Amino acid sequence: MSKGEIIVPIKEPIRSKDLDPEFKYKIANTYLGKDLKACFKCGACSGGCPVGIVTEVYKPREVIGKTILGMKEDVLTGDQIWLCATCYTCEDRCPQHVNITDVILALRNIAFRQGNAPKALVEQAKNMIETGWIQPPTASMDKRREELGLSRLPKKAVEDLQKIVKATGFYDLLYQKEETEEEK
Amino acid sequence: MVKYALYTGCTIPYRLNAYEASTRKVMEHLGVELVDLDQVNCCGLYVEPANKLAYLALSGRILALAEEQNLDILALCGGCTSALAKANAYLKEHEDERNAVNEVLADFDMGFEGKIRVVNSVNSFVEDIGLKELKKQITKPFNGLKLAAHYGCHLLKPSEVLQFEDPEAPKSVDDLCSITGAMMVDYRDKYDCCGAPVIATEQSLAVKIINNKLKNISHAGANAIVTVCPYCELMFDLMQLEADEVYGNGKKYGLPAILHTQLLGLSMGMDTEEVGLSLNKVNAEKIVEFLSE
Repeated sequence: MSKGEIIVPIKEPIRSKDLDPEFKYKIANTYLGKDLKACFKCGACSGGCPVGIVTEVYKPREVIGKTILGMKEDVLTGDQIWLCATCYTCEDRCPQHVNITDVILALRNIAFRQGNAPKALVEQAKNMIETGWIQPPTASMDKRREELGLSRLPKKAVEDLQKIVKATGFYDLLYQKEETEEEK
Repeated sequence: MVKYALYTGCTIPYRLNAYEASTRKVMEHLGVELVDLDQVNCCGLYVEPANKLAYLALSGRILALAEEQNLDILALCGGCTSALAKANAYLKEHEDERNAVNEVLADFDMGFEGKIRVVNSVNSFVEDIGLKELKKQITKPFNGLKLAAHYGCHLLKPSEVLQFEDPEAPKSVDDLCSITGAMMVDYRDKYDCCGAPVIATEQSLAVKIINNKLKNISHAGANAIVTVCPYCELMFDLMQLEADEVYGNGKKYGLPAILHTQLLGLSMGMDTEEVGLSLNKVNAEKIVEFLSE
């Protein structure tokens, strides 16, 4: 996603044939989305959202509402869920104790599996796996550290880290996805 | 004596060395022992949106490393603090995930037990060291410096997990900084997010968010901003230049944004080099003019 390319969702009326009534159960049964269905759409989440203040495109109540309705495609392929700042203000304020931020993270987990994550995030995840750092370190960093009396950049346990991402299935998810895309 | 396993994460060692340097010096000055964890990995924050179990296992490994030494973790970054504290709480409560993570960690002869705390530098100053003790070390207080505090979301929220203080009316950073003699200034939407996490998805929105914050702080008459998290610091300092460019119409905010550990170090008598003040992008040297002789 780059400047000016945000897809504005909901243009057409919502039709029941486009909805997946099971979607809310799927989310409610995974991750921390257990209280998702308790939402009574008061809007406290959108009212306090720091991103919602600066754009019409992202409102947490809309994402929760769509998830409950079963607008699976819209939620998982759109840009909305990736605009959350994960500041947890909505989650903290929700009178119904819906774990809104965690629901969004659960939605992101599914969208990521489907290959709908922003490129920057995929890049950072790959950097982390390959170098141990979310951005590859450069020689100038050690020089600056030395000037401040700090030791060289600490060594990261890259081997262990790679074992972890492989054992948890994340490695395959990240790299096989790419191969499939290249094959296309 | 207070002693921690120090976890510096990714962003601080390579992008915000001033935070690491000033923290180490201030803690040394206070007699706090910091043990560097060997062979750490990323906290997994960046993996959380992609794969929950991978995140829990990455954070779990760091928690297990500190558990081996029986030390609480001192995390400096808001992201790391939140990732580690959330994983700590989550793994304690959820047996299935804990077993899954321990199965992964068993490969390295490690295991998560859930017997340590994760604290941020502000928790440490306020709760573990104590402001009374800290105040004794302030030998060169600021005089007339009007300071706007930015708390950082992940220091406070989700509050149910972090259990530090009321996220709607926090006081810790203001209380901490006021012992240096600085006058703390309130401003509109003070507790709102800095916008940093949105950079990766849509930078223009993040710049809009930080511009609103800078506008409110400027309006409140503050001379400078004080931060806790490296991402917030980069937003208020580095991205201030971007906000000037996009929204300034030729004018610049010129608001120095310094870390709370730099502020403490200076008021303890350290020189600007020791706390890495020259690394700030917006000139922060003018803060020194407010120090008493």
